[in-house]
Amino acid sequence: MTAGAALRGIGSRLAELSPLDLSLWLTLTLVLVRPGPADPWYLVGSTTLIAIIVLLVPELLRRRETWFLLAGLYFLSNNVIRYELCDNHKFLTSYWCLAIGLSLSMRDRAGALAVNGRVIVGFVFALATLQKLFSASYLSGEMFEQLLVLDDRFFSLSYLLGDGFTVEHSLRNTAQLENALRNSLPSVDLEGGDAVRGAALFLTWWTVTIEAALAILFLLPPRLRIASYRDHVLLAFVISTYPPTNVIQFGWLILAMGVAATEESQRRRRLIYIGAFLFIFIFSTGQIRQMLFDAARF
Amino acid sequence: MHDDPLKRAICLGSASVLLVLTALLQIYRVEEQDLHPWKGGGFGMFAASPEQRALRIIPIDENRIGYITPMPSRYRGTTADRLLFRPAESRLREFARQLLTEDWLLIGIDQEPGKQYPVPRYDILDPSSSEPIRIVEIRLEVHVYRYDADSDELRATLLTEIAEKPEQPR
Repeated sequence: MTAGAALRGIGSRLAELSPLDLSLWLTLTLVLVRPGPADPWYLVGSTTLIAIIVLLVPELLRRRETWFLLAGLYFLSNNVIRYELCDNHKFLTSYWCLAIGLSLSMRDRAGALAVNGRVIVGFVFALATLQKLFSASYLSGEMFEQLLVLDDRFFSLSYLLGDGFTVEHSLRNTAQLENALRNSLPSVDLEGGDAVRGAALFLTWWTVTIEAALAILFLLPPRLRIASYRDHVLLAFVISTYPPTNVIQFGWLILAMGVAATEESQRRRRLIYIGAFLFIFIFSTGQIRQMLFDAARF
Repeated sequence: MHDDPLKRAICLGSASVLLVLTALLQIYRVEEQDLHPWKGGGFGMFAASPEQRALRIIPIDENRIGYITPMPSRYRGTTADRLLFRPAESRLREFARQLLTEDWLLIGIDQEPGKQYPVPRYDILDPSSSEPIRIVEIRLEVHVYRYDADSDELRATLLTEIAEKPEQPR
């Protein structure tokens, strides 16, 4: 059997899983692999141990106690002890584990998890949209312009979308930032702002538009025909957003929630979700990012 | 058989309510307590400029001369990050009081090109080194660097500051 056939076999077996089970397995993968910045040792140790026990005793995957325990650990560490140190997705992990535990407490577990998945994704993007619409530095394009000239995660995009933004610009800007912080300088000049201004405005309006669309589609009653497009928009958002920003954990969480909200019959759609899950993982290894960087540079 | 309405409401609403309440608290703390807009669970990442913050520690000696000194190595990491991302006055004062209990040492004088005066550098005293300098006050300043697209500049503005002196014996 070829590697491709083997992968297709694994993919179709995963797609055969119910939305509930697939969502639980994807979430457990996130707990075990924990991509992204390191968590404190006590959280890594305790949650990894739980995930390994669940792998050894798969019946525990559908036990609400497993998820309440994970929710408690994540909540205590990220939402309480390390409140101001944690990015958004760290908070979201505890809410999602809590939602899973609560959904597993109901008679209609799959239906409850689907509702929780839809509502949480809807509120996340509603809050993200509102924060953007009330932010002057976002609406002016300044936020993305700063990222494009100064944030190394965005440099590949700056070279691709910018009009003349070069590696030299990025190196000099990074050095200027370090210089300002190290020597307490009142201001430093950056370069390349003009070159990325158009790209920054495009990213500004693309992001707020797609996030607003996601908020609306996920919060609309699922019986409405237009709401069935939520998966398409979510996948487009995840694939276009998380690889460049490299917030893989957030991407995985959103996908696990989106999968929970799919219909039992939508096997092909779940297969695409699995593909997106793998795509952003492969992208996060840096190989594709480096290829883009090299292509833009030469 | 269906679940009763109260159980249904709790199981379907708790996580979302928690999410929204935390986000509202984050928005309040960003506005009122200088919490970093990308932190605290409000989903404000990529909504406001990604502020670069700097904590300036200024020990002042008995001649009332103070100079900016780098964050002592033992406080780098979590302690420094907490002060930067949520620089509440009580925390800054507690940190300043901690710094006042340390023995400070003049470790060198930099003559930076283009600057008129030499810049003394302080650090916390190593037990094996010489006599410490008497520090009579510690000032802490949190500055935030924001990007100005009109001028292509990254500019520092003062976010908050405190000064703390050693407690006088009664």
